[in-house]
Amino acid sequence: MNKKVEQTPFDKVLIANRGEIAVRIIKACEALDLATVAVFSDADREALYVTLADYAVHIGPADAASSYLNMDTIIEAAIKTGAGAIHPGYGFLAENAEFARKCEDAGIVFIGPKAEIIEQMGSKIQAKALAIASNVPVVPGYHGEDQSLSCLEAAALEIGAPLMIKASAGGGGRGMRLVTDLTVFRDELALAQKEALSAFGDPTVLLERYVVNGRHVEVQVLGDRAGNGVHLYDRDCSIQRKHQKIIEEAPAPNIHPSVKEKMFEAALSLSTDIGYDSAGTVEFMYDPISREFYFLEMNTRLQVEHPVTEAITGIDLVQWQIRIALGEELSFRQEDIACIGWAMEARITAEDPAENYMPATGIIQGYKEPSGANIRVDSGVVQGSEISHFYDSMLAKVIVSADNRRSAIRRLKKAIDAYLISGIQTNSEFLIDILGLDDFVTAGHHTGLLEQAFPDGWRKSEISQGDIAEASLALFLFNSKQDSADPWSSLGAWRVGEPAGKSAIAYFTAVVEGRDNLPVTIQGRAGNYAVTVDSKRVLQVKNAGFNDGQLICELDGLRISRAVTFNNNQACLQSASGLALVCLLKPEQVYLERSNSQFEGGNQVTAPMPGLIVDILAKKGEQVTAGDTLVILEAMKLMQKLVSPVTGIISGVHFAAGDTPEKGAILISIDPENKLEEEA
Amino acid sequence: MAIISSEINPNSELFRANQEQYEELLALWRSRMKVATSGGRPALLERHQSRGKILVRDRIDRLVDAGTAFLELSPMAAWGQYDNELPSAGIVTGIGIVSGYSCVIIANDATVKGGSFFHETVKKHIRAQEIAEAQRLPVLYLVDCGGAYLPEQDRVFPDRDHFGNTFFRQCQLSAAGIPQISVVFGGCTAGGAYIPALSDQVIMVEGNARIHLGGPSIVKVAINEDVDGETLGGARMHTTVSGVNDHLAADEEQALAILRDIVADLNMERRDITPLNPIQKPLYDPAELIGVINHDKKIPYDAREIIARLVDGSAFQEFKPEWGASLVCGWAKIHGQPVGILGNNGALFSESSLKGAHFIQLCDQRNIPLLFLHNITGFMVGTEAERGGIAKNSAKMVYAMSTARVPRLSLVIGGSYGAGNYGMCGRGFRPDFLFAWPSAQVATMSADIASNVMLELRRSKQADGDVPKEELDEIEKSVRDQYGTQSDPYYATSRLWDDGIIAPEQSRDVLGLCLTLVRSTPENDKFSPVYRM
Repeated sequence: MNKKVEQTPFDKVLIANRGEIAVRIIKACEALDLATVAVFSDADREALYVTLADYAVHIGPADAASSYLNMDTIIEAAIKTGAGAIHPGYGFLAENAEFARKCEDAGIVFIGPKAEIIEQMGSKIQAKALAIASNVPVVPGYHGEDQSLSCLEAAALEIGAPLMIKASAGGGGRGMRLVTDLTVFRDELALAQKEALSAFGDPTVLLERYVVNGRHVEVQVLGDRAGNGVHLYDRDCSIQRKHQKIIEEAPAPNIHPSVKEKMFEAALSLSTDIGYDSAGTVEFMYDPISREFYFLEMNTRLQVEHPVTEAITGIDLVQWQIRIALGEELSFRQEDIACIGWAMEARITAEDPAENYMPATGIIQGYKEPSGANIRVDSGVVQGSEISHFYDSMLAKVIVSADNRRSAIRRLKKAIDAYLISGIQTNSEFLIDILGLDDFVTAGHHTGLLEQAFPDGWRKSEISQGDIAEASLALFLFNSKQDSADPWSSLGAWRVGEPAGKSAIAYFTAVVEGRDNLPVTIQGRAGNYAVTVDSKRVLQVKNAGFNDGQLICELDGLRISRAVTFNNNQACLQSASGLALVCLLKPEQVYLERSNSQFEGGNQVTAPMPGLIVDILAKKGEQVTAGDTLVILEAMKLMQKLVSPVTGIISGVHFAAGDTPEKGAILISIDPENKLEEEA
Repeated sequence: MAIISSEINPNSELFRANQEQYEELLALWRSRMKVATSGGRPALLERHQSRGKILVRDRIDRLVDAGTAFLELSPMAAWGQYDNELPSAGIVTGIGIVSGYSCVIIANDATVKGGSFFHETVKKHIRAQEIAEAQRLPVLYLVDCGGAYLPEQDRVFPDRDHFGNTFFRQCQLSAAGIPQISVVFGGCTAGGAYIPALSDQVIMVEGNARIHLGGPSIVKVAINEDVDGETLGGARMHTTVSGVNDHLAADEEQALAILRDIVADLNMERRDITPLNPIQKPLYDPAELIGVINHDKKIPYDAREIIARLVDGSAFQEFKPEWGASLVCGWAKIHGQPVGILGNNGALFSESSLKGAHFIQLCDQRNIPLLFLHNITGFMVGTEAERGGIAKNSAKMVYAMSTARVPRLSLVIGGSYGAGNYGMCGRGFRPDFLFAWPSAQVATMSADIASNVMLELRRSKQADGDVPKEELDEIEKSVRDQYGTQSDPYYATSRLWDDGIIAPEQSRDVLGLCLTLVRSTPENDKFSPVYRM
């Protein structure tokens, strides 16, 4: 193999990524006085990172396979712009050895470890073998090359439940399936293989024992090309939903220092043994009962959660990745690195945690980041950013640091609460609820905490009728054009009989997020209003008005002020029980639609969101039972099983695998069984 | 413009006494307003709602854009007549904003005598159509009526301004390009059937709406056919069979939503008269108006004190202040709209008449609407006045006012007597809008003067000049009673001599609404009539 050890220094870096991490890398390059080149797909033309980079190159259509995963186009872009190095960020091509090689071949520095390390660690089977060679403890499991069903089933039996099926080439939670009951092993295996194939082009899976109530603890390492290596302490990333991390912290809490020392030692010996020459992460499963830890995998790239390590060590990991690639040696030794304070990160994602983390798409209408000492926001979005279904749902990360863990939790809660993102559903309230869980606050958490704490799924705390009334009033006032020069608007709902107690009532249907539609009336004008929700009077205020984004009014003499933003006829009001999102519909928006309700049948499978149909498991004329999986839809990089709502005969299959239906598209129609009988 | 400096001390005894006295007038106004705008008897309201029907003013609240004004006209029509059992004359009319467009709304109140048409009902209906014509406003008919009230048929049906005229106007309006749209909420029999039938577009509410020229009982009598109302003229039949109806609504909410949807696409445009500068409130609170007006009618008050509490920033550019002082003329803005104001400071003399005529012509030339503030006993009488040509000079003002092309608004704040009422654009001169205060009095002359005139006439007939005291007392009492009753503002508003009694404090806003409306009226154009097929 042609191997170039010495690489040419560079002064321009192409960032083969998008979103917040592209922004993060641009900032690091700027600090190092390096010019930056962004690449963008059709969907990212207006993205923040594109505007921040010195140069930007269009690399293709929105789907990642044709753009951010298209190695040749990206290398071409680097050559065209004279970029001497490529930073892959995380995800996409970050752990793709072939890409690293292609860069090398093109004379471009790949900012990351050597290609063969990526390759070794990319295969979980090989990685495990190397870990064993470095005396790092590993989880019992099957990592064999024989991928036959019989062999995998036999291995599963030996490992026992619960076990985890993982895509060998995977990462980031994709292609991972937890099996708690071996009778469904076959089904889950099939799905895992399918996901692995579609996500990584390789259906190979491995099986591992699943540590019950285990914690995900990882060690950050940093190595240079002169063979120096250090660790930067640990991180706890146990708070995961669907095997994807959402809250991370450094250091890992509630682990005895002697165990930690062993873990650092293991991580460092593995990275040193393989000659690791960049920033990397060695992931472990920690069993808090036995105090054992097992090697899971090594990530040969920058991690999403790297900022928490930066916060406790004061070392800029991205800058060091680049400096190492520039040929610099680490300027510090292990004993120079201190672990000070506590850092915690939360990932703000565009999704609905109450609806099985359904990805949300749309345009960010209102946007305001939290600010303050020890609050860092790594964001890829701004007001007006469009969130499509093509990429990961993460919008931004909020990172806080504090003297100790409890203070960090408080600060993070407050920062998330102050982070205003409207126009698109986010997981903010879910994150705040997690940060308040006893098990988390007392560091008794583990990777299964969310399923345990929210057995039926997380539910948004219901906003009160008072909140709905306030949000409705705010929106009503916002829409009422009181500042108009036209008295027909500026006088509000003026009526001649008002002094005789005959004031006007405005009738609305309120669409309240997380609740059924409610009738809302608002009576009065000129600062004095009575609001009913669901035919009950819940608010009577005086001197109501707006001032600087606040609804201000007097309720029985008590002055109330509430932060509220508006977009698209929706008010987003911050109340004690969270964000109240209320939209007021006019009569014609409610009553004209009504006659269409007959078309909403319970005998169809519709696309819950825009996405790609991976497979359709039913044919026209086939008999299906309610609950049967009929369609596998990939959206926002997650596979979804769409099941039949009724028992009956498939009467129509309207899409095929490979199609990309819009949200609400009817995919499959079913003739309910009883209907056929009735007709017969 | 100069800012009017008020001479009135709101802490003075006189001011407080005036306020107290006027507050009594307002208390009466509020109580009557409440009764007049509450519809029929409670049992009837309940029955109405039990049929899934919405009360008439609630329908209007749901129809107009949320948070916008609805200028209801003559809510106290028919007050004191028909044993006071005809609140609002059984019909609600007014101007409101629907889907962003100014519209005239004419809505029957089925809880009042089944929504049938009395003399005042017809008059109110026609007055609303007249405004629609003058201001080019689409007319939305919320129909829920049983046609003419038969016991009163001689006062409702035959004459030129009776029921037939409403349909004539409907056709004329439509032909003039002013949309006529009906929603039928209840039974429309006979005359009632023609309101939807002559409309450009019709919406019917399933279940309750019926349209038939003759109801089941007439059908039975006339042709001995047994049929139920729904088969005869139900909404579904008219939608799917006869084609009388265009849009079938499942309920009233949906019907009103369809109406809003139709109005949104009417393609009616009005002139943009948005003021350039921010609107200033008067420097003096309009709430003070009731303390400004002297309770004792013999004590005059300055019209400028009224104007200062009506106009933007209390700013007033006065015309000819040193000449013809009994008529205050000048320019101001109300809610940003320019207006030329004429207010009485005593009887009209030749000079003040000429000044008024001149001022009216200036406003006409400058396209500035006129506002008349009535507080007038009449034109000056006497040898000096006649020798000075008061007859021809007052006629000049009447002539100028009658022929002015600009919009004219009248507000009767005090007395409006005799020829003074003519010069100040009384109802007979067809002002675009005419409102009255609870202190208004409209008559040929005041009760005082009338009784003295009648006594003088009686005495002059008696050769020896000695009329028995009993007879004179009898004459005085009867004349005072007649004038007292007939110059009462509720007597006037009951008979549609005005567009409603408003509280002084509301005047600025009402005038602002009217001025904005009349100034935005587009020039007439050619439009096509709609022939129902």
